[in-house]
Amino acid sequence: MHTQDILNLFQGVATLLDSPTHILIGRIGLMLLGLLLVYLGKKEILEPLLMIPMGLGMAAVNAGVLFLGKGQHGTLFVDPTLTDPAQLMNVLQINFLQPIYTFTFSNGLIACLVFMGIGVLLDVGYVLQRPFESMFLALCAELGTVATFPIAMAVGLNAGDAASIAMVGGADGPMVLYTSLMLSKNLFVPITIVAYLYLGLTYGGYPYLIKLLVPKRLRAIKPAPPKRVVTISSGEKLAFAVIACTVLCLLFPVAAPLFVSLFLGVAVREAGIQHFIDFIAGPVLYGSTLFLGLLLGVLCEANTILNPQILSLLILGIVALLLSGIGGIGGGYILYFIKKRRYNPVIGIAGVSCVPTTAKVAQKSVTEVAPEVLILPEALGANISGVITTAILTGIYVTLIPFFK
Amino acid sequence: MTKSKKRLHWIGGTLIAFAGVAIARLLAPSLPPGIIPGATVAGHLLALGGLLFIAMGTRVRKM
Repeated sequence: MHTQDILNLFQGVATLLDSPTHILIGRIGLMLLGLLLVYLGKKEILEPLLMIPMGLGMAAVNAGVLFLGKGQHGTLFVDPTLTDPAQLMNVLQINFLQPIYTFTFSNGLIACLVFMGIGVLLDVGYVLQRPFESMFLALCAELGTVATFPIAMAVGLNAGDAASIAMVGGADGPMVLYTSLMLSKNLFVPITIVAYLYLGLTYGGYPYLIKLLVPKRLRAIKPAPPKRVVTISSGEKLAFAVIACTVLCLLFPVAAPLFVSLFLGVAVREAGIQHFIDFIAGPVLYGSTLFLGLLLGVLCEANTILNPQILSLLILGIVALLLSGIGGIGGGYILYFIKKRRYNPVIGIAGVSCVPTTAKVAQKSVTEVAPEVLILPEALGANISGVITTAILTGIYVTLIPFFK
Repeated sequence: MTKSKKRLHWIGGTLIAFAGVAIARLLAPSLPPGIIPGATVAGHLLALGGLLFIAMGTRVRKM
């Protein structure tokens, strides 16, 4: 029996040896990266809910390449490049993840489902209690989302790609996915992967940024107590969600699916429809997160992801997140001076909309130096406002960028 | 905050927000080309300002 025949029995290895050198190195590198992501997810250094399916998918898709006839390489996972309906109908019956990709990814449905789940977890009461502070911090924390756009254009990306990578500054995975699906069809896989990898790093990286920018003395500031506690009824929150959703959909119809998903979650929560709350916060949110992670991993096949622009995307992603963190803390400092030094500037970092990670990071950084100081309510207000401002910026980019083209 | 003041924020904010939408999406496109960008931006800001005005009616006052 010839060596080639034996190798054909193990086509994963045969296609590896048959690949050009850069693909061979890419496949091995991505398999190792996949295993590393699973490890980091298990150790909870990165978000396990996403990293374990993503890492496993990444390792498996790069291992499971086979010959598909005429010497072509391919997998039985998913083909993201198909557009022809006839071909698509055939492939839907072959690739096991193709139905989920075709019916939930290319139209942004999976981002909306995750966003609906986030909506159910949000309490807009925190925003309504401190609207000025929360919105101000959230706007400051969009520095990366706004400033990275011209930087990315200067690096040579087109407007759609630049806007998509700039959205990493919003630190909101579904939003990056939605924007890149709408504006950057060719680069949406690497951009979303970069986004989710970096979002995992906010938990580990932002505490160092806080320590670098805010001295211990300021981190221990106790916020001024409220004169009286205002309780906001669920009816008020529901009314706000309905009005805000309608107004934002009227302003940015292109991003209406995102707005309606977020505010539907909020509305269901405030209306107290327990069956819907349980369904959305459980099967919908966790089911979509599982398939989002798995599909993102599977889309990291060496032939798809090895793009010369990946390095610039990696750098721009970290620049966006860093600028947003700096912007948020800068906003915290502005409030610190406006409020006559009775405001903890660390709260500013929570304006970055990675719910609830950045609010938890802010509280954790404060607790380290002053365990009795509680900033979580203020931080959650900024955090939830961050989700809303990031959704608005998504709407602005998705609406305006087509005019640039 | 009294009930009537709260109501003012809700009704006023909603009206401001929808007025902003009307300016941005209905009025602005029919204006002369030079004014369109300014009117659109103003409409968007007014709409978001309306939402903020509603939120102001429920906020916590600090000492």
